[in-house]
Amino acid sequence: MARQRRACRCRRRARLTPNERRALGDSPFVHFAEVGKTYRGLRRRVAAVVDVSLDIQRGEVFGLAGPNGAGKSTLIALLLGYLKPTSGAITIGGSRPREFVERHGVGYLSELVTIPPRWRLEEALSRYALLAGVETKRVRQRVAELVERLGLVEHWGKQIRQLSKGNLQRVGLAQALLHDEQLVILDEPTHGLDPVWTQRFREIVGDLRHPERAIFIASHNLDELQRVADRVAIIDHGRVQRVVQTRATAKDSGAIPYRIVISRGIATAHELLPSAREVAPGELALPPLSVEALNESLSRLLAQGVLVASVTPVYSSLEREFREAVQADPSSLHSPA
Amino acid sequence: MTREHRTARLGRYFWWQYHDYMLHQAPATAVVLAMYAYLTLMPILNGSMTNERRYTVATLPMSVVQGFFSDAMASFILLGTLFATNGIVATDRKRGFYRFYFAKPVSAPRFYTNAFIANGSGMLTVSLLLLAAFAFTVRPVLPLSFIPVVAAMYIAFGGVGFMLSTIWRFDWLSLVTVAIVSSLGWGMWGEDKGIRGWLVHLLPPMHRTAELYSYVAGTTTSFPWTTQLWLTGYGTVCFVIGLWILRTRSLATQ
Repeated sequence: MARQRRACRCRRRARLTPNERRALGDSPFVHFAEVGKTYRGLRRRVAAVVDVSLDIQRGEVFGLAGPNGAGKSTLIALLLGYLKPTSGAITIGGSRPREFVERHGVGYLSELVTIPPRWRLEEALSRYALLAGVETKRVRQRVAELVERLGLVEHWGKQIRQLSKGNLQRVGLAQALLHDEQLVILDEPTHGLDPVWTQRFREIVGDLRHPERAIFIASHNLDELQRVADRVAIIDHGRVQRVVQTRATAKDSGAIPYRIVISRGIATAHELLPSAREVAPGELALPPLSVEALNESLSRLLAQGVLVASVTPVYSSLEREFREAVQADPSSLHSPA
Repeated sequence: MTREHRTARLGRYFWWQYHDYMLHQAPATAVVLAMYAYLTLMPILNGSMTNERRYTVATLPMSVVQGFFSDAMASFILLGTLFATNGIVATDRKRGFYRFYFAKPVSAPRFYTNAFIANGSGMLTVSLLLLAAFAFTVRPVLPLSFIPVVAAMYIAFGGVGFMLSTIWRFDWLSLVTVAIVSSLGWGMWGEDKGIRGWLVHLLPPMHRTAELYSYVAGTTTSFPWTTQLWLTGYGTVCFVIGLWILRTRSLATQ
């Protein structure tokens, strides 16, 4: 009876106003409807997020990219209910963010991993596990599993302040994975991770994919987002500039420049590709080409016995979209990671 | 993965919060009180406060012991509560610890109510240990009213400290200011029938706390119920306002 009364109270609190319901219509799992957030100071007002409308479905890995100060962290704080929007509405599973989080929890890794520095690693994860609602008798086992999975066994008894940036990042990731959440929010998840753990992170995101779960990743690393996300929203000056389908982008990437490393037959390659210039011994820079033109050029090279060691796009198609969206020159991009 | 509701295991988490208090605030409270006791007792024992008449702890007159007990209790409660509630909410906000706590299925008001009770329980534990130390080293006094009065005063001062901690980060400074302004205000305008008299009634009744401590020390015989209720009522109202602020205000500053 008491439980029913509590549930009723929760439903009442989660109820939206008629205006919000009209604005939202039939909502997907995560829905931003014309969301705005303005910080008001004594002297000035800063619009951090302006009219953001986004839908995220269950089963989707959704990326968020943008330059520094674009509004990514504010958007995440709004999604977690840590900030309240100045205009518009956000819903998760039909509830306001705070109500959803307080009833279900979310897996969240913040950009800055802030854990009391005197806590020991195992203690920190045990505490977060209790808060995440892990059964008391399963806490130790769950913590041990994650410590093992994230390669933190040797740091088990260490204090948080004794951990390196990369290890701290892994502890942050571990606490986000303590419970099987419907929504996982990762803010700059590979920040500070070495290449091995960056690769492991991709595998973890792959394992997290589930038809019932939405994964939201904010990152500066466009190559990372291209690899793990289904769609990426590019945000600048608080506005969503465009939403890019990463798989479609890979297919229809348009003309982008490439670099080819030749193991044998560099002179022949020069003859066959007169527009290419040699940027290093055995490495040619090709001008922007479509995928078809690139393959045709490669066929010609291979037919003449040239041995090609690697072909790398100078920048990824998502990077090109990003540069266009934030109005920068795509030709100034460096090689992808 | 289920879509069912679930809640944090705050009952178990309570022991972590209690552990934090006992590890960090309790030693500081005990050390400060030991220093206070030493600095207060030494002038009495060496005669510099008693016209060159020297005492040992065993020969101290009962009236001096009662006065010392009452003063020490007043200091313990004010400082202990200050340590127990200092930054209880503000530190998590300032240092960003809230980010991981409140991504879990727990509301800020429930989490900090738990912390408030855990710290209060810790302070009661310390107060019992100090009382035992007093009984062992000075006089074997174990007044029954000691624990209820410490608990009530924790609610009274702690409620104010808790509310201030939900508002801004300088909560300890504000609590000390409130205590000083209240003592001065009540002393100067407590009997005033005008606007100042009304305004003073908004402040906690600090001028009445001595009645409670005197009763516990055994210098008065009738328990000051109205004072006790006034103080705990004031603290409870402040605590509830603090919970309301936690519920309505954004957790992040930006």
